[in-house]
Amino acid sequence: MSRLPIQCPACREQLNVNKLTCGKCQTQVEGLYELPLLLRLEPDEQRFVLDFLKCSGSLKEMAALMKLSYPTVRNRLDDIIGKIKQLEQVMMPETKEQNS
Amino acid sequence: MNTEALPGRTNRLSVWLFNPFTYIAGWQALLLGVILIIGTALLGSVGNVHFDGVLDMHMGVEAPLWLFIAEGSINWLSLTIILCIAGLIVRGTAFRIVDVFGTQALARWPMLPAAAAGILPANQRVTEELIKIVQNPNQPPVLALEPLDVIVFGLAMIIILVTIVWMLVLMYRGYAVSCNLKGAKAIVSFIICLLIAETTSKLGLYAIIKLFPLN
Repeated sequence: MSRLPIQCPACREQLNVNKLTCGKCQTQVEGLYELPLLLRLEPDEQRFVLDFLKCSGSLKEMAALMKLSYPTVRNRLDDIIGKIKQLEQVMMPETKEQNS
Repeated sequence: MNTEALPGRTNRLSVWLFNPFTYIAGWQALLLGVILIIGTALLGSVGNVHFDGVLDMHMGVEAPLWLFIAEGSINWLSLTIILCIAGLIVRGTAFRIVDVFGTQALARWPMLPAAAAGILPANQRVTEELIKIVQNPNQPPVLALEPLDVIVFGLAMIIILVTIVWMLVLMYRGYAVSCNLKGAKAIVSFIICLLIAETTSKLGLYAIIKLFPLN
């Protein structure tokens, strides 16, 4: 499956979901749905977050499983946290508009 | 488990050579680094190769083994302590001190081949001749050397220069990984720390020799 685009290639604005399709019966649902924050992360970042949860949030366990050093894993986590904070700032005005 | 972020097999070797801290840090790096610092000191004592400063390497003066170990330890500790302080100031958030100590100890490992290059008999002969010239400034300088000795000496100097640059790269990578610093912030703070550490290591060695005179 191709990579999920999260930014508009023309204006760099965040993309929303317009159409959803059932993989079995091909039923299509159209509307305007905001992409959840986690889906706006890169695929490897999403996997990191999931693995981190599976390790009960233990960086030591993550480091052992990924065969990387502790600071390397912690730095990656810090980078993802920074990206999530940035995305939250971008998404906040969108959420406010939809709620009102 | 996610393996997408891991480097491929082709560039894994380059990561091990220039940024081993992707794979090793903390207590493991500390233990290995300390063993290598002591090993370098032992090798240095065999051929009178001195590491008298964070980035210095000189040959020629005979000294007891403790001084070689003290040189390695002072060089490592002076830079590490200063990098820890800089990390706290520049980063502003917590990091593991053991990672800085461990990565900086391991970053000094290229000094082991440098010490090995320094103890080559040809280098010893050239160094002895150079010392004779320095010690007798009133006599006309005459170098009684075999051409092969000069070639070996020249090659050893190139190897030593490369290993010092390599150590610098490792020191910077260790600092950047341990404190999660990037870009200009990391480079500028590292250069400042290096300059301070070079001075403090020299002062530290001077103090040690004053406290425990060699003769």
